[in-house]
Amino acid sequence: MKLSENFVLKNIAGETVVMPVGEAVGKINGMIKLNPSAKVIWESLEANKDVDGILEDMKKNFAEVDDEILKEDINYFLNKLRKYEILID
Amino acid sequence: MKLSVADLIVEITPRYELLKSRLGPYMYNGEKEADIVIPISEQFFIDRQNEHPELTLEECEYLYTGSCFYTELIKYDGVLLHASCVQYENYAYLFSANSGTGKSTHTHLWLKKFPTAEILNDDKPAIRKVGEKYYAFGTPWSGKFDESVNTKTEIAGITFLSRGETNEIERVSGSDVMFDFMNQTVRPNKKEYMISFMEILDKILSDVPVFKMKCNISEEAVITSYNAMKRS
Repeated sequence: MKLSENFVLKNIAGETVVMPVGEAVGKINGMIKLNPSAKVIWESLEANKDVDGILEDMKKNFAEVDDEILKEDINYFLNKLRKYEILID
Repeated sequence: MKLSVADLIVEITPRYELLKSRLGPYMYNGEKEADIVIPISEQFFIDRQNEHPELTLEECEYLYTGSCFYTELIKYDGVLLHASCVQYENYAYLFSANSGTGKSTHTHLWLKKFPTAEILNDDKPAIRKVGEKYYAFGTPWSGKFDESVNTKTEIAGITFLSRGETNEIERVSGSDVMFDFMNQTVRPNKKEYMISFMEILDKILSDVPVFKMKCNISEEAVITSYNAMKRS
């Protein structure tokens, strides 16, 4: 499970934004805004964490949320990333 | 030959009249080394023209040297904004919108209202952070009509325009116009340039006053934008 090299994450004007570069530019025309949980998942993926590692990072950031809900969030976002070939298995 | 554009030394070897005719005010004869080298060969323009047969060779040279300059500018805390920029009383006022909205119409109304105002660049000013301030610069790549002056003027604000029946302007946050800004600049393809691009965009949208405006074609439109954007 690995993030494509063709994306850059940065904060712009208080928003977390992902921009396509290189080959991804033709596939995704525009920018992706990430919400706070998507940002945590993205950064965990950048650190080469697996699903368990991502869950640990999510628990640290969202201690008040049930594990089951966090897992659902993670799966939902990972599937979305796979759909756009941002995440490569 | 060397040019001085946006406080940067640019080395370029122009071949055709269109580009040559725009370079006069930017000639540099000093000793400084080039910050940006535009390394494009004649073969490059011939290849581009084959892809875009509707363009003449000299138009290809003009467009692609501009695109090369604005890409390298990113490495120096600068970006292109597709905007009409008017300067008045030592400040630059930028109006950005899709082509055909009337940004140039709006800035030309400023020239009528304020006799000492002038167009800094009618289509593609460079924005660059130098020290702690943000400046608009004229460049040789100003678009169809040669309406650009070689100056460096501190930016009062950037306004994203749309047409309206009446005149309304609102100061907004950087995140409110991030998408508009992205759509009115050239996004780089290479990763290292994209990283620098996003960093300078964050600085501009965090520090420079930005506005959204609906306007018609009238003197009242000018007064509305000037009063909202002027520095007190």
